[in-house]
Amino acid sequence: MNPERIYRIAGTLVKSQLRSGRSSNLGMRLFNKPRVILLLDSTLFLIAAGVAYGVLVLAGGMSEETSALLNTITLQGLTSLPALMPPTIFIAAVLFELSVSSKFASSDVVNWLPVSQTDYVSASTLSIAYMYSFVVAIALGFTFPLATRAALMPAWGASAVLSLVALFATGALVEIMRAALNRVTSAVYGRAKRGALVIRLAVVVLVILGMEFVFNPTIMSGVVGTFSGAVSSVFFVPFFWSSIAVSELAAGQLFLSAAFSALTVLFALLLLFVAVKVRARYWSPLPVTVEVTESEYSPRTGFLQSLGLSAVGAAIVRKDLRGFTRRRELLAYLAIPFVFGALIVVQQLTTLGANSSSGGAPPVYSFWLIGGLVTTMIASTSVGQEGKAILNIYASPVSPGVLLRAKLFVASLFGLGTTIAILVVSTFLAPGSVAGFAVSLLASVVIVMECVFIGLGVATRHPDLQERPRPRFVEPTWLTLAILLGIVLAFVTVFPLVLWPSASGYLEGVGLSYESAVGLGLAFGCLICIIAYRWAMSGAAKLLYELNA
Amino acid sequence: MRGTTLETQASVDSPSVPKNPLNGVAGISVVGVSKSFGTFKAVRELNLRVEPGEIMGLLGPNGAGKSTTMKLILGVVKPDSGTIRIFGKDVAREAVETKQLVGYVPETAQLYEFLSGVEYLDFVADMYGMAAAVRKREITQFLSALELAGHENQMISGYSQGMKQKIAITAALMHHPRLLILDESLNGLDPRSARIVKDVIRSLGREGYSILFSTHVLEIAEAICDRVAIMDQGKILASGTVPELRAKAGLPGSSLEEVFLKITGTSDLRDIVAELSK
Repeated sequence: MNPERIYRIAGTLVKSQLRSGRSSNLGMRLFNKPRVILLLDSTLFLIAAGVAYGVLVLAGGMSEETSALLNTITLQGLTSLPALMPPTIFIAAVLFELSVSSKFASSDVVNWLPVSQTDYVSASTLSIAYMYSFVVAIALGFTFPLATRAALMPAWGASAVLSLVALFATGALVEIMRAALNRVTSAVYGRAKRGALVIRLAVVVLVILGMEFVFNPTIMSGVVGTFSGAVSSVFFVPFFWSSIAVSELAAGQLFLSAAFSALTVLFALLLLFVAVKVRARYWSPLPVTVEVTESEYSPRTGFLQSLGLSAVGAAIVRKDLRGFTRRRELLAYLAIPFVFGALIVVQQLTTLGANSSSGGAPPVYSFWLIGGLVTTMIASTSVGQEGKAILNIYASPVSPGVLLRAKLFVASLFGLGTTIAILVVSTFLAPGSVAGFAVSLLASVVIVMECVFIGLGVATRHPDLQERPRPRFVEPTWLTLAILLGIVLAFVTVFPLVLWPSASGYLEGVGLSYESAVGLGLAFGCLICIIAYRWAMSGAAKLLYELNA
Repeated sequence: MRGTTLETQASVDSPSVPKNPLNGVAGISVVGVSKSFGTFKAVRELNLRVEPGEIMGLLGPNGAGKSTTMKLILGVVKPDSGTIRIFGKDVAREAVETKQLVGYVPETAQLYEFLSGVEYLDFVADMYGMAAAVRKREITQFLSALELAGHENQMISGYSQGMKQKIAITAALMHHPRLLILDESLNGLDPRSARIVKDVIRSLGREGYSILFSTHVLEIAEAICDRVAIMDQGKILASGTVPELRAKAGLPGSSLEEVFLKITGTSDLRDIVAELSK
């Protein structure tokens, strides 16, 4: 192990992470050195500490009972902090690792440099821990004033140190996963062929759904609640050793605390050792060969053309749909509808359990959530997804209208498919009137089309065609604006539906019936569709005018 | 001296230029084209003419403006001034129609790497509206000739650079374009495939295709091009047949490499080599 070399490699990996996502000069200037992370961590620590301190000041003089409760919560927080690091950071890191384009994942320069596995894995582990250290900084900042007030500073100090150790252990865990996935991918691709793509998609969706549930407030509070009393009951789980150490320290059990702290450090080192061994054994720097079919080539005759697309448009649609199931960096986008769908269904099930009498109400939130977010996101990124291969579109006889219609087809397929699926499931769970369902369906279609055109307008005007480890596909500022605009316009479109139950009296008083209110909303939506379509079309013409990639 | 201008306008009635069967309509006609990127002038007042059936070699050092010139002719980059016509059609006004006539192989193959080789070719065939039977025949023939048969169903991400280049060449040739623009298209090809592509280019030239071909391998240019244009700093410094260029450079009997070095003003490399060898 060469500490100087590890430091240099870790620094390079952090620089790569920091710079790969920057395209503006300002962003590059601000985020070009690893020490910016330290600065960011310090700032976040101070902000979080300031917020917590402000809350304490605003709360003023507390009763003894409230004060005791706050102390208990603070101790629970300090105890649970190191144990919450691994799930939080691991899932985020897994998502990032899975979303790195295979083109970049297989081109590690380190593969042909004279660097030992131990040095590289240690450096990579350190860089992951460093990149995610902001999570620890925020948590420690927030708990600092609370711990000071509750005279729990020793526990806070132990929690801080052990959280950092847990952060390192999580980094090692990500390294193990990275090498193991590389092996699994090679093995599965060798045998499962096209099935491997489906397996990968399923894995990503499951991971994201897992994250969704891990961060579910109910489950989070359950985990924190574990530490309220018998934390030692989970002594057999190594990831809890750090929390047990903090808990024992607070209870005055110094020997037990020291023992579990030592065990925590040893466990982190063990994970690093395993990560080195797994990488040495399984890492393959070569790109995997995937055979998508074994059948002889036979030109397709067009199902898509029967839906009104031209041959050129159908080819672009087919290509884009294949990209969604095959490109690692697009899998997260494909998973988003599943995640939001599951979220809404779970939420509705919870609501039904709590208040079954409210069943039957149209799930209005699903319109602007799915319509405004998922659809806009997919439409906005549709041009940037081409990357540098957009040269194929420029070099081919493709008109702006054909390109726009192809992108429109793909984005609306996702938007409409997801929204209608959720609407149907929601209606099944909470049946309502046929008329209500019809109105919801119509509103869904209008909203999805609004958002698709807004997204395409942004996609054609502000695509990000740069190919990097984690491509963005669209300029982030414009993506944010498009999402906000989509949500606002979608909300205005369904406003009469939302407003009617509480304001029907007033609206009828001004001569507006339910039907005319809904009609007004939908007419507004259609008008937006026309305006946004023209905007998107002029964007497509501008895009194809000259190659800027 | 760097950048000596020997001739700025390609000769139309050169003895090596095939007869024009289209009543004087050039395959490529570039008149007074300039293009700048910010303050950098990539192409300056360029004039170039390639006849049907002619293979024109475009030579020049790195950054000379060859790739920009090719992209201007293809229509993916717009000129600041001047006009470009392909078989009489204005590239700026009839973008889709002119692209239908062109096959283009870029300097680095930019393919959709998540598609298999045959899916990519099928995509390109759709772009050019190739009939099913024709595309199947063409794709099968090219894959077999370029020794890609057996790999066609693999995703392009797993291909070597040479295999990607073969796919890009197949995509450019299979729809039988009337104009071929080949930007260092032999890069990365194995000798057998390079030979096949060279022979195909010669054969297409004889069949009346216009071909604009850039390369850094001067022996290839000498072997397959009817005429050669040497570019530097966005300008054509000289053009003509290889014997004509030799005569203009005052180097009769010398190689095209020596002519190229003299015209681009980089002939005396002894000091550089001596410095690097220390």
